[in-house]
Amino acid sequence: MTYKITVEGAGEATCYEDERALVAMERAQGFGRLRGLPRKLPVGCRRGGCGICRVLVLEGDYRSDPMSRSCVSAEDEARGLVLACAIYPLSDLTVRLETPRLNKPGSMPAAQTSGE
Amino acid sequence: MALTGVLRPGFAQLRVLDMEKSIEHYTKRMGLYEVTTGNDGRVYLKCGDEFDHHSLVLRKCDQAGIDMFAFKVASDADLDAFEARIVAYGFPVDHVPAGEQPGLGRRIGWTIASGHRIELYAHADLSDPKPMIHNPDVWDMEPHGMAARRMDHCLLYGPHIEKNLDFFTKVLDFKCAERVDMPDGLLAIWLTCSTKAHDIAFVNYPEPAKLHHVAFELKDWHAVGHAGDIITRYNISVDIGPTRHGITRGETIYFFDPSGNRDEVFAGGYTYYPDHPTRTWDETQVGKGIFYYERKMNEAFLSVVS
Ligand code: FES
Ligand SMILES: [Fe+2]
Repeated sequence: MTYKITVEGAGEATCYEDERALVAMERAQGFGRLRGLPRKLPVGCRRGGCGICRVLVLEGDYRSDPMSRSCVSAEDEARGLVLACAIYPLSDLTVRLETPRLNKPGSMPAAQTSGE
Repeated sequence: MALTGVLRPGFAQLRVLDMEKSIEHYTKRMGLYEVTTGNDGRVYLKCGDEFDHHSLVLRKCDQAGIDMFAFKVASDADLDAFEARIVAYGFPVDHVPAGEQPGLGRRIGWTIASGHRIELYAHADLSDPKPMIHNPDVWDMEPHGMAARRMDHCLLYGPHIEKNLDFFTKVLDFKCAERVDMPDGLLAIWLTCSTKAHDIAFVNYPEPAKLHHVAFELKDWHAVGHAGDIITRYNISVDIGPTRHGITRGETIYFFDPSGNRDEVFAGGYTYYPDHPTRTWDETQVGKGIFYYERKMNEAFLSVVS
């Protein structure tokens, strides 16, 4: 089973079942299928921690791994602003690349000593 | 000279999104050992060639990154002496009682100009596995995974690193082994309290308190190659390497833990003595300084942090 990820203005990627959307997009760019991208696809940790791969999902369903809240707030996530490395398509998707946001100073979690 | 005052990095406390996957990553893949789990759920780990109780603490959180980086000092009296100097310098110091982390004595902590929390402590219990001391074999428990020997250093990103340089050298008696100066100012510093080329490093970055990587030392270049095999075999997200740093000369791989915190495993690096001059890099050669074989930074080096 594969899904089509349309990257707005750039091209299309083929994503396999249980594959991270970002990994499919990286492969597509390697094969020259995201020619509309003006630059290299932003790729960092591929594990939901750095925020470099933020996309807005315009259409389609997906499931997701935990994403670091310093990169994506709960409200962001609810409206489809997610980390491409932490979502797995459940249908064809259309996404728009979003620039990462810098944390506002002081937004790091406090209480370094307590467990959750 | 003997090592006095701040001896070495003691532990890093990382925030992880998924504890189970993180433990698997740090134990099975990187070769650390789980020492214990605290009442609050934090998990304590160590490398097999370390004596002290733990060198890595994992805390489950909804944000990745680093809570603190701690150094061990030579004696309890050093804690009081450093506290007086830190307070005199202008940073408020707080106190963490003995046992707040299992196996550790009392700690002092404060926040530096780049927004990171740094701690000092003098006492750690021993824990197993550890190096043998009577008729010692090369190891007690057979190394596994990447066979990390010790938690070695970290690279932290934040603003005002020229203030960190001033603080670490004036107050904690560190030396600056290497630095990168760009036309618009200081970009990065590698600081040492020992004969290693670095025990902590900083890169200037607009956002405070960020983690670039925590590094673990391996035996040699072959071990770095073996770590590369493990990274591919277990589909660990790789950043760059195996390659070498011009700065410190370490042979290295950067990769990511399951929460997107960057880890490094490395071998080598030159010996630093406190009478050595600082090595400097400029804009034209900094790419070679960061990644010696590629001779340029990858895009992630200056932009991907947790
Ligand atoms: S690449 Fe780091 S969050 Fe996706
Ligand atoms: Fe490093």
